[in-house]
Amino acid sequence: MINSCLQEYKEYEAARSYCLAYGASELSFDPLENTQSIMGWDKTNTAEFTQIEPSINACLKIAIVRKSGLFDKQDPFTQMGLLSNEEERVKDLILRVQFSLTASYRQALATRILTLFKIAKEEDENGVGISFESLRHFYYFLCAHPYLKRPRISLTPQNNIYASWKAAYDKVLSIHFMPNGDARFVIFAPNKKQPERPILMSGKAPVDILMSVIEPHGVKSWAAQ
Amino acid sequence: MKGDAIPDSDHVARYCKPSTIEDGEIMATAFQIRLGEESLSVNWLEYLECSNRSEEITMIRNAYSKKLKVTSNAKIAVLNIGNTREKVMSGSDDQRNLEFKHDPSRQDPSHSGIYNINHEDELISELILSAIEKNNIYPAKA
Repeated sequence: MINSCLQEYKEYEAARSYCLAYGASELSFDPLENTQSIMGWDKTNTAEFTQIEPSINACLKIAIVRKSGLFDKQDPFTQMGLLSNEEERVKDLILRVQFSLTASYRQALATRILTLFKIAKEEDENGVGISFESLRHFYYFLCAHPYLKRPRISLTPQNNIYASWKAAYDKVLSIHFMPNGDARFVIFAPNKKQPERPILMSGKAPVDILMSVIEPHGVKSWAAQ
Repeated sequence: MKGDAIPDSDHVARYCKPSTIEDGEIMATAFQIRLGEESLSVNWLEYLECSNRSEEITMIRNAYSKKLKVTSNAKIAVLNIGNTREKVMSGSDDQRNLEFKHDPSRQDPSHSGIYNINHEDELISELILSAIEKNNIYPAKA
Protein backbone atom coordinates (compact mmCIF):
# COMPACT_ATOMS: atom_id res chain seq x y z
CA MET A 1 0.00 0.00 0.00
CA ILE A 2 2.78 2.43 0.95
CA ASN A 3 4.73 1.70 -2.25
CA SER A 4 1.62 2.16 -4.32
CA CYS A 5 0.89 5.42 -2.56
CA LEU A 6 4.41 6.73 -3.06
CA GLN A 7 4.26 5.75 -6.71
CA GLU A 8 0.99 7.61 -7.03
CA TYR A 9 2.40 10.63 -5.28
CA LYS A 10 5.44 10.68 -7.59
CA GLU A 11 3.07 10.38 -10.53
CA TYR A 12 1.07 13.27 -9.16
CA GLU A 13 4.12 15.46 -8.69
CA ALA A 14 5.32 14.70 -12.22
CA ALA A 15 1.91 15.45 -13.66
CA ARG A 16 1.65 18.64 -11.65
CA SER A 17 4.97 19.92 -12.94
CA TYR A 18 3.91 19.06 -16.46
CA CYS A 19 0.63 20.90 -16.10
CA LEU A 20 2.13 24.00 -14.59
CA ALA A 21 4.68 24.12 -17.39
CA TYR A 22 1.79 24.43 -19.82
CA GLY A 23 0.04 27.14 -17.84
CA ALA A 24 -3.00 25.00 -17.23
CA SER A 25 -3.74 26.66 -13.93
CA GLU A 26 -5.91 29.33 -15.54
CA LEU A 27 -8.47 26.95 -16.99
CA SER A 28 -11.67 25.79 -15.37
CA PHE A 29 -12.96 22.48 -14.18
CA ASP A 30 -15.82 21.02 -12.20
CA PRO A 31 -14.52 17.99 -10.32
CA LEU A 32 -17.94 16.45 -9.89
CA GLU A 33 -19.15 16.90 -13.44
CA ASN A 34 -16.03 16.38 -15.48
CA THR A 35 -14.20 13.55 -13.84
CA GLN A 36 -15.10 11.26 -16.73
CA SER A 37 -13.28 13.56 -19.11
CA ILE A 38 -9.99 13.08 -17.34
CA MET A 39 -10.31 9.36 -16.80
CA GLY A 40 -8.44 8.57 -19.95
CA TRP A 41 -6.12 11.49 -19.48
CA ASP A 42 -2.83 11.23 -21.28
CA LYS A 43 0.05 13.26 -19.92
CA THR A 44 1.44 13.68 -23.43
CA ASN A 45 -1.76 15.26 -24.68
CA THR A 46 -1.95 18.88 -23.58
CA ALA A 47 -5.37 19.27 -25.20
CA GLU A 48 -6.81 17.40 -22.23
CA PHE A 49 -5.84 20.32 -20.04
CA THR A 50 -8.36 22.59 -21.72
CA GLN A 51 -10.88 21.06 -19.33
CA ILE A 52 -8.80 21.49 -16.21
CA GLU A 53 -9.00 24.37 -13.83
CA PRO A 54 -7.62 26.80 -11.32
CA SER A 55 -7.43 24.15 -8.74
CA ILE A 56 -5.23 22.20 -11.09
CA ASN A 57 -3.91 20.20 -8.20
CA ALA A 58 -7.37 18.95 -7.33
CA CYS A 59 -7.96 17.85 -10.92
CA LEU A 60 -4.74 16.02 -11.16
CA LYS A 61 -5.44 14.24 -7.96
CA ILE A 62 -8.79 13.13 -9.25
CA ALA A 63 -7.21 12.04 -12.51
CA ILE A 64 -4.72 9.98 -10.58
CA VAL A 65 -7.39 8.56 -8.35
CA ARG A 66 -9.28 7.56 -11.47
CA LYS A 67 -6.19 6.03 -13.02
CA SER A 68 -5.55 4.05 -9.87
CA GLY A 69 -8.97 2.43 -10.14
CA LEU A 70 -10.24 3.71 -6.81
CA PHE A 71 -13.71 4.17 -8.19
CA ASP A 72 -13.85 0.95 -10.16
CA LYS A 73 -16.83 -1.11 -9.12
CA GLN A 74 -16.10 -4.66 -8.07
CA ASP A 75 -18.44 -7.60 -7.75
CA PRO A 76 -18.13 -8.97 -4.27
CA PHE A 77 -19.65 -12.39 -3.74
CA THR A 78 -20.46 -11.99 -0.07
CA GLN A 79 -21.61 -9.31 2.32
CA MET A 80 -18.27 -9.53 4.12
CA GLY A 81 -16.56 -9.06 0.80
CA LEU A 82 -18.67 -6.02 0.18
CA LEU A 83 -17.82 -4.57 3.58
CA SER A 84 -14.14 -5.28 3.19
CA ASN A 85 -14.18 -3.70 -0.25
CA GLU A 86 -15.89 -0.58 1.13
CA GLU A 87 -13.35 -0.32 3.96
CA GLU A 88 -10.43 -0.62 1.57
CA ARG A 89 -11.90 2.10 -0.60
CA VAL A 90 -12.29 4.35 2.43
CA LYS A 91 -8.67 3.76 3.44
CA ASP A 92 -7.52 4.52 -0.10
CA LEU A 93 -9.49 7.72 -0.10
CA ILE A 94 -8.00 8.79 3.24
CA LEU A 95 -4.55 8.42 1.68
CA ARG A 96 -5.64 10.61 -1.18
CA VAL A 97 -6.83 13.26 1.26
CA GLN A 98 -3.40 13.13 2.86
CA PHE A 99 -1.37 13.30 -0.34
CA SER A 100 -3.45 15.14 -2.86
CA LEU A 101 -5.73 17.68 -1.20
CA THR A 102 -4.30 21.16 -1.78
CA ALA A 103 -5.45 22.55 1.56
CA SER A 104 -2.71 23.08 4.13
CA TYR A 105 -4.65 21.04 6.68
CA ARG A 106 -4.69 17.88 4.58
CA GLN A 107 -2.46 15.93 6.98
CA ALA A 108 -4.54 16.87 10.01
CA LEU A 109 -7.76 16.13 8.16
CA ALA A 110 -6.55 12.72 6.99
CA THR A 111 -5.55 11.90 10.55
CA ARG A 112 -8.94 12.97 11.81
CA ILE A 113 -10.80 10.87 9.21
CA LEU A 114 -8.65 7.86 10.01
CA THR A 115 -9.34 8.34 13.73
CA LEU A 116 -13.05 8.59 13.02
CA PHE A 117 -12.88 5.42 10.93
CA LYS A 118 -11.21 3.54 13.79
CA ILE A 119 -13.67 4.91 16.35
CA ALA A 120 -16.63 3.93 14.17
CA LYS A 121 -15.26 0.41 13.78
CA GLU A 122 -14.86 0.19 17.56
CA GLU A 123 -18.43 1.37 18.04
CA ASP A 124 -19.73 -1.14 15.50
CA GLU A 125 -17.19 -3.68 14.36
CA ASN A 126 -19.56 -5.08 11.73
CA GLY A 127 -20.34 -1.65 10.29
CA VAL A 128 -18.67 0.09 7.38
CA GLY A 129 -16.85 2.60 9.56
CA ILE A 130 -17.37 5.52 7.22
CA SER A 131 -19.63 5.57 4.18
CA PHE A 132 -17.29 5.64 1.19
CA GLU A 133 -19.69 7.57 -1.03
CA SER A 134 -20.28 10.21 1.64
CA LEU A 135 -16.53 10.61 2.15
CA ARG A 136 -15.99 10.80 -1.61
CA HIS A 137 -18.44 13.68 -1.96
CA PHE A 138 -16.87 15.45 1.03
CA TYR A 139 -13.46 15.07 -0.60
CA TYR A 140 -14.71 16.49 -3.89
CA PHE A 141 -16.30 19.40 -2.06
CA LEU A 142 -12.98 20.29 -0.41
CA CYS A 143 -11.14 19.86 -3.72
CA ALA A 144 -13.54 22.27 -5.37
CA HIS A 145 -13.32 24.79 -2.51
CA PRO A 146 -9.72 24.72 -1.27
CA TYR A 147 -10.08 28.13 0.40
CA LEU A 148 -12.29 26.70 3.15
CA LYS A 149 -10.93 26.32 6.66
CA ARG A 150 -10.56 22.86 8.10
CA PRO A 151 -13.98 21.79 9.31
CA ARG A 152 -14.70 19.78 12.40
CA ILE A 153 -16.04 16.44 11.30
CA SER A 154 -18.08 13.71 12.92
CA LEU A 155 -20.24 10.82 11.77
CA THR A 156 -24.00 10.73 11.47
CA PRO A 157 -25.88 7.63 12.66
CA GLN A 158 -25.69 6.44 9.04
CA ASN A 159 -21.87 6.73 9.14
CA ASN A 160 -21.92 9.68 6.77
CA ILE A 161 -19.56 12.64 7.03
CA TYR A 162 -20.95 15.66 8.87
CA ALA A 163 -18.70 18.71 8.55
CA SER A 164 -19.08 21.87 10.57
CA TRP A 165 -17.51 25.31 10.40
CA LYS A 166 -18.40 27.20 13.55
CA ALA A 167 -16.98 30.58 14.55
CA ALA A 168 -19.68 31.73 16.99
CA TYR A 169 -23.24 30.89 18.01
CA ASP A 170 -24.45 32.90 15.01
CA LYS A 171 -21.77 31.77 12.56
CA VAL A 172 -22.36 28.10 11.89
CA LEU A 173 -22.26 26.12 8.66
CA SER A 174 -22.86 22.39 8.93
CA ILE A 175 -23.11 19.98 6.01
CA HIS A 176 -24.25 16.38 5.97
CA PHE A 177 -22.70 14.70 2.93
CA MET A 178 -25.08 11.98 1.83
CA PRO A 179 -23.98 8.99 -0.24
CA ASN A 180 -26.22 9.89 -3.18
CA GLY A 181 -24.38 13.16 -3.84
CA ASP A 182 -26.83 15.43 -2.07
CA ALA A 183 -25.88 17.54 0.90
CA ARG A 184 -28.15 18.70 3.69
CA PHE A 185 -26.98 21.93 5.24
CA VAL A 186 -27.70 24.12 8.27
CA ILE A 187 -26.67 27.76 8.54
CA PHE A 188 -26.79 30.05 11.59
CA ALA A 189 -25.97 33.52 10.25
CA PRO A 190 -25.64 36.86 12.06
CA ASN A 191 -28.71 39.07 12.35
CA LYS A 192 -27.48 42.66 12.44
CA LYS A 193 -30.76 44.11 13.70
CA GLN A 194 -31.32 41.51 16.42
CA PRO A 195 -27.97 39.88 17.22
CA GLU A 196 -29.55 37.63 19.86
CA ARG A 197 -31.73 36.05 17.17
CA PRO A 198 -29.47 34.61 14.45
CA ILE A 199 -30.89 33.86 11.02
CA LEU A 200 -31.45 30.09 10.80
CA MET A 201 -31.86 28.15 7.61
CA SER A 202 -31.51 24.64 6.33
CA GLY A 203 -31.91 22.87 3.02
CA LYS A 204 -30.66 20.28 0.59
CA ALA A 205 -28.69 20.64 -2.63
CA PRO A 206 -26.42 18.51 -4.82
CA VAL A 207 -22.84 18.81 -3.59
CA ASP A 208 -21.57 20.22 -6.90
CA ILE A 209 -23.79 23.31 -6.67
CA LEU A 210 -23.95 23.52 -2.89
CA MET A 211 -21.57 26.46 -2.53
CA SER A 212 -23.57 28.57 -4.98
CA VAL A 213 -26.66 27.90 -2.84
CA ILE A 214 -25.12 28.72 0.54
CA GLU A 215 -22.64 31.45 -0.44
CA PRO A 216 -25.26 34.24 -0.60
CA HIS A 217 -25.81 33.74 3.12
CA GLY A 218 -22.28 34.91 3.89
CA VAL A 219 -20.84 31.58 5.00
CA LYS A 220 -17.44 32.37 3.50
CA SER A 221 -16.97 35.17 6.03
CA TRP A 222 -16.35 32.55 8.71
CA ALA A 223 -15.81 29.27 6.84
CA ALA A 224 -13.15 30.50 4.41
CA GLN A 225 -9.53 31.20 5.28
CA MET B 1 -44.54 5.69 34.53
CA LYS B 2 -43.83 4.92 30.88
CA GLY B 3 -44.97 7.70 28.57
CA ASP B 4 -45.17 10.36 31.27
CA ALA B 5 -44.11 13.81 30.09
CA ILE B 6 -41.06 15.13 31.93
CA PRO B 7 -41.48 18.66 33.38
CA ASP B 8 -39.74 21.56 31.64
CA SER B 9 -37.83 22.40 34.80
CA ASP B 10 -36.08 19.00 34.78
CA HIS B 11 -32.97 17.78 32.99
CA VAL B 12 -31.96 14.85 30.81
CA ALA B 13 -28.53 13.41 30.03
CA ARG B 14 -27.50 12.26 26.57
CA TYR B 15 -24.64 9.84 25.94
CA CYS B 16 -22.47 11.30 23.16
CA LYS B 17 -20.34 8.65 21.52
CA PRO B 18 -16.79 9.43 20.37
CA SER B 19 -17.67 9.51 16.66
CA THR B 20 -19.81 12.59 17.40
CA ILE B 21 -17.03 14.45 19.21
CA GLU B 22 -13.91 16.23 17.97
CA ASP B 23 -11.28 17.60 20.36
CA GLY B 24 -13.70 17.24 23.24
CA GLU B 25 -16.36 19.30 21.47
CA ILE B 26 -19.73 17.66 20.95
CA MET B 27 -21.22 18.00 17.49
CA ALA B 28 -24.84 17.98 16.36
CA THR B 29 -24.59 14.37 15.19
CA ALA B 30 -24.84 13.38 18.87
CA PHE B 31 -28.50 14.43 18.66
CA GLN B 32 -29.46 12.65 15.45
CA ILE B 33 -31.38 9.40 15.26
CA ARG B 34 -31.18 6.43 12.92
CA LEU B 35 -33.81 5.72 10.31
CA GLY B 36 -36.53 3.73 12.04
CA GLU B 37 -35.79 5.00 15.55
CA GLU B 38 -38.73 6.65 17.28
CA SER B 39 -36.89 8.81 19.76
CA LEU B 40 -33.52 10.07 20.93
CA SER B 41 -32.41 8.08 23.95
CA VAL B 42 -31.73 10.06 27.16
CA ASN B 43 -31.86 9.65 30.95
CA TRP B 44 -34.06 11.71 33.28
CA LEU B 45 -31.80 13.07 36.00
CA GLU B 46 -34.37 14.25 38.58
CA TYR B 47 -35.95 10.78 38.52
CA LEU B 48 -32.78 9.50 40.19
CA GLU B 49 -33.57 11.60 43.29
CA CYS B 50 -29.94 12.44 44.00
CA SER B 51 -28.92 15.43 46.06
CA ASN B 52 -26.66 16.97 43.46
CA ARG B 53 -25.52 16.81 39.84
CA SER B 54 -22.33 14.96 40.63
CA GLU B 55 -24.28 12.06 42.16
CA GLU B 56 -26.62 12.02 39.19
CA ILE B 57 -23.72 11.77 36.78
CA THR B 58 -22.19 8.92 38.77
CA MET B 59 -25.47 7.01 38.58
CA ILE B 60 -25.80 7.69 34.87
CA ARG B 61 -22.25 6.42 34.30
CA ASN B 62 -23.18 3.23 36.13
CA ALA B 63 -26.27 2.82 33.96
CA TYR B 64 -24.22 3.32 30.77
CA SER B 65 -21.57 0.83 31.85
CA LYS B 66 -24.25 -1.88 32.06
CA LYS B 67 -25.45 -1.44 28.51
CA LEU B 68 -22.78 0.38 26.50
CA LYS B 69 -19.11 -0.02 25.69
CA VAL B 70 -18.15 3.33 27.20
CA THR B 71 -14.82 4.75 26.10
CA SER B 72 -12.75 7.43 27.78
CA ASN B 73 -13.45 10.12 25.19
CA ALA B 74 -17.24 9.75 25.22
CA LYS B 75 -19.23 12.54 26.88
CA ILE B 76 -22.45 13.13 28.74
CA ALA B 77 -24.40 16.24 27.74
CA VAL B 78 -27.01 17.54 30.16
CA LEU B 79 -30.00 19.40 28.74
CA ASN B 80 -32.57 21.50 30.53
CA ILE B 81 -35.86 20.41 28.99
CA GLY B 82 -37.65 23.77 28.95
CA ASN B 83 -34.67 25.59 27.48
CA THR B 84 -34.19 22.93 24.79
CA ARG B 85 -37.87 22.88 23.84
CA GLU B 86 -37.93 26.67 23.59
CA LYS B 87 -34.80 26.81 21.42
CA VAL B 88 -36.15 24.18 19.04
CA MET B 89 -39.65 25.62 18.88
CA SER B 90 -38.47 29.15 18.16
CA GLY B 91 -35.72 28.11 15.73
CA SER B 92 -37.43 25.50 13.57
CA ASP B 93 -39.54 26.28 10.52
CA ASP B 94 -42.37 24.08 11.76
CA GLN B 95 -42.16 25.33 15.37
CA ARG B 96 -41.31 21.81 16.40
CA ASN B 97 -42.66 20.80 19.78
CA LEU B 98 -40.21 18.28 21.19
CA GLU B 99 -41.67 15.88 23.72
CA PHE B 100 -39.58 14.48 26.56
CA LYS B 101 -41.13 11.26 27.86
CA HIS B 102 -40.18 8.72 30.48
CA ASP B 103 -39.43 5.34 28.90
CA PRO B 104 -38.04 3.17 31.71
CA SER B 105 -36.69 -0.35 31.56
CA ARG B 106 -35.86 -2.68 34.46
CA GLN B 107 -32.15 -2.26 33.81
CA ASP B 108 -32.37 1.49 33.27
CA PRO B 109 -35.29 3.01 35.25
CA SER B 110 -34.50 6.65 34.36
CA HIS B 111 -34.36 5.94 30.63
CA SER B 112 -36.40 8.42 28.60
CA GLY B 113 -36.79 9.63 25.04
CA ILE B 114 -36.98 12.86 23.08
CA TYR B 115 -39.84 12.50 20.59
CA ASN B 116 -40.83 14.38 17.42
CA ILE B 117 -37.37 14.05 15.87
CA ASN B 118 -36.88 12.60 12.40
CA HIS B 119 -33.76 10.92 11.07
CA GLU B 120 -32.92 13.81 8.71
CA ASP B 121 -33.33 16.66 11.18
CA GLU B 122 -29.97 18.39 10.99
CA LEU B 123 -31.43 21.76 12.00
CA ILE B 124 -33.18 20.28 15.03
CA SER B 125 -29.96 18.56 16.10
CA GLU B 126 -28.04 21.85 15.78
CA LEU B 127 -30.69 23.62 17.85
CA ILE B 128 -30.50 20.97 20.57
CA LEU B 129 -26.72 21.31 20.54
CA SER B 130 -27.04 25.06 20.95
CA ALA B 131 -29.11 24.50 24.09
CA ILE B 132 -26.24 22.81 25.95
CA GLU B 133 -24.34 24.97 28.39
CA LYS B 134 -20.58 24.36 28.47
CA ASN B 135 -20.60 23.56 32.18
CA ASN B 136 -23.15 20.84 31.55
CA ILE B 137 -20.82 18.44 29.72
CA TYR B 138 -19.14 15.57 31.59
CA PRO B 139 -16.83 12.69 30.71
CA ALA B 140 -18.86 9.49 30.25
CA LYS B 141 -16.18 7.57 32.07
CA ALA B 142 -14.90 8.63 35.49
